[in-house]
Amino acid sequence: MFRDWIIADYLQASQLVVGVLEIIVTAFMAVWVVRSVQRKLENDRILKDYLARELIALRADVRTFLENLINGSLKGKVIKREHHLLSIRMKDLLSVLNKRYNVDKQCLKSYRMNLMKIVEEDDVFQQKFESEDFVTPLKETTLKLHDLRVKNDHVFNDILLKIYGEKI
Amino acid sequence: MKIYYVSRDYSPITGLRYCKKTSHSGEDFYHKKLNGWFAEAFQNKEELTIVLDGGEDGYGPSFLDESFGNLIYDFSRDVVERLLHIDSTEDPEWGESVYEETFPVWEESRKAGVEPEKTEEHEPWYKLVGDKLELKVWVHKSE
Repeated sequence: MFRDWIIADYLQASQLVVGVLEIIVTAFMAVWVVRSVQRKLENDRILKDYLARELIALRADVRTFLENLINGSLKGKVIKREHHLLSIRMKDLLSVLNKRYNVDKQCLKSYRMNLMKIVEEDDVFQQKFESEDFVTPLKETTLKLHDLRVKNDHVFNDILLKIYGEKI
Repeated sequence: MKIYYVSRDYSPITGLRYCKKTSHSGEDFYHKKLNGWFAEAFQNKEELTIVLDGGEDGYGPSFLDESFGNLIYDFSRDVVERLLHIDSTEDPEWGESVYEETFPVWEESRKAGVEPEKTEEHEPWYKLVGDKLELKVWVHKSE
């Protein structure tokens, strides 16, 4: 078949082969890029959804803690410990959200620091700090806690919007 | 540099501000440990690191304010900031609240001569007078 070929034929054939190879490689690359991007998008989505679920669970626990605090359903002995555990969860989650989505690490400071400042000023809490008794906070304290909640509850939604790339 | 861990060298569980209200209070920690640790560091011209990590249930803001605030009152903000480091990797906001809130407020009180409240009689403790340390009971238990 190739016996009658001249150099120009060989050149033409090799160009054809190179062209075909180019198409195959380009097609392969395109499929690989699309799959990689898709995989990355899927992973991003999975991570976003996971962090969003964590945040929503945290918000629910913070709300419950505040509710219990205001209603006097927590024992003096456990308030500091429960708040500490919540605070650690807030710190850990914010640390990831800060690295990944640039969420301000300080945005839950009111719940982490100011909340306990309010509670620790309360005479009833001070008296029952080490006891098994339930702490019914003073009226002044409950007002401050309500105020703190009203002013800060939106922060969780703001973080959710930031995770999903919406402008706040 | 001397390094002390509050959880190991004082107590893994800490209380609130005053001795009369809770055990292991900020007032108690200051008088039993922190004042002596800092005075020793000052005398030896070395830095002092207080590690807050490792406590069982964290630290209440009033515990931190009372213990580190008293340090400012007795040694001045300038001297304390020069020698003291607070290590709180577990929760950086503990250290930040001391530097940003406690230090300026207690420095103002110190300059204004507002004595800190003592809810127990304490053993003599160190205070910087001029550039010398003096050891005595500077403030008695309030009535």
